[in-house]
Formats: sequence, structure tokens, C-alpha cells
Amino acid sequence: MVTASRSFVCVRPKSFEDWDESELLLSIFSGRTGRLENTVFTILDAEGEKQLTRSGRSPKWISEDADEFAALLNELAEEHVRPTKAKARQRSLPTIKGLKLAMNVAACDSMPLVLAVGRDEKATKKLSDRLAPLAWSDELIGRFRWVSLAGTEELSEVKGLPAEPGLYVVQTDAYGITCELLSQAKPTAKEKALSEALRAGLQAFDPPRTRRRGMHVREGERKGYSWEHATGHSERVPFTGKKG
Amino acid sequence: AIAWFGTWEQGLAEAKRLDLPILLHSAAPRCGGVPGMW
Repeated sequence: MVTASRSFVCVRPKSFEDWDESELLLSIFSGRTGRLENTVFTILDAEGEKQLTRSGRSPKWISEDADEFAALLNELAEEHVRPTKAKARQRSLPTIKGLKLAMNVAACDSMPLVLAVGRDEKATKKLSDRLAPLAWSDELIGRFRWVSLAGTEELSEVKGLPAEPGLYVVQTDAYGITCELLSQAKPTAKEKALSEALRAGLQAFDPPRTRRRGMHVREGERKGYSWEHATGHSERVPFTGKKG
Repeated sequence: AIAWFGTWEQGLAEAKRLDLPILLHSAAPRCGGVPGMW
């Protein structure tokens, strides 16, 4: 199924983190409650306008199991993907918006996080463009979460991160609050050095043991950790798309 | 795992550029109000 997903652009907006995204998600699926659910799932055409499957809260709403879903993805890809055109172009670096959210997501996925930090927008784009082919290479595809930062301001908010531009591979704690630096490269590093830093980070990454939900929540509460969504909404504070 | 684009804006731009369909699955990065678990 993961292989089948490569013929699609996979997008995972974070629920309740952006007003416009929340409105879009609500327009795709709101269920009987009329409010935004924690998760929304659908498949859309390349223009993002036409739904190719019905929407729901997860793939389970349209397929019985992983095999059936993979078959559906392959079927849709045959109908909607023109292979030569898509393969000829390099894919972009699939990033998460903002360091705090990226650290949380990396913790959720139990994956190493790569920070591409440039001095400014231009330098960050150059670094991201050099990283993109590596991110989509057979060896490294789907092995990291990525965040690109224009400037070093956000780095100072996290203990243990150098306060200068560069490529940093980090392992977050279980809550995405702190992190350990695993490997790094200069912001002007070429493909070989970037590739070596990514490989070194992947090798140094120590996959955390799977945790039970109850234990994770109890320990997080004991440590005083909580996550407030950027829009201020959640299941308890429903998002209905109406401002004011 | 799946290589996810983190925002709709970035994902849509990529889909249009590559003329590829979009697999969309939103999720909230917290469990019981605590970060670090879906």
C-alpha cells in the first residue's frame, strides 16, 4: 500500500492547526455533526477539486483492508496518472510547517526529523532543493520527517540545537518537546555530504518502544505537557467553519 | 512510510505541478490533549 501511494501526492494537514485548512477539511467531510472531525480522508484529482472516492474519516470508509485499498490506489493511478509526465519532474521536499509542529509530528510517527535551516528564504530554498532528490531516493524515501526554516529564530526555542544555519537530523523525545542532535551538515553542503549526514542520522536514530496510549497521556500530563491547536479548536471546542 | 506533505497549500501545488492525484488524510497530533501521539 505504501508503494501504491507513491503515485499520489500524499497530503496530511494537521487538524485544527490552520483556519483555511480546517474549512477545506470541513467542506470535504463533516459527518452528521456538522463539525470538523479529528481525521478526514479522501482522494482528489490533481486540481484538488474533484473527489475520486467518497470522503470519510479514514480509508476504512472505502476499503475493507490494506490489500483492497492498495488495489484501489493502483486502479485510480492507472486512470489518473500520466506516467511519463510525472516521472520527468523532480518532487519537492515534503515539509511540515514550523519547528514546534514538526517535532510533535516526528514524535507521533517515531521518526527522525530533518531540519533544513537557511540564513534566509533564498538559502533555505536552495538547501531544500538539494535535499529533495535525496528525500525521494529509493534508499531514503519515507524515512524522515522534514521541516525547512528560513532563519534561525525557532532554533533558539529548542534546547540542544545549534543556533546557526545548517542541516540537522534530530531525534525528539516521546512528546516532541526536546531533541537530541544525531548528525549535521553545513548549509552549503553538496549532495554527497548531505547524503552522508542523512545516513548517519538514520543509523543513529534509536526507534522508541511502542507506548500504550494511557501511559503516554498519564506521563505527559504528569510532566505538564499539553498541545493546544493553533485555531483553538478540537473535538471539545468544535470547529464549524463560522468565525466569530 | 508514506512521504507526507504537511500542508494543503504545499500538497496542492505539488499535485498541480506533477499532474498527480491527491491522497488526503488529516490527523491531529495529540492524544488525550498531550503531544507526541496521534
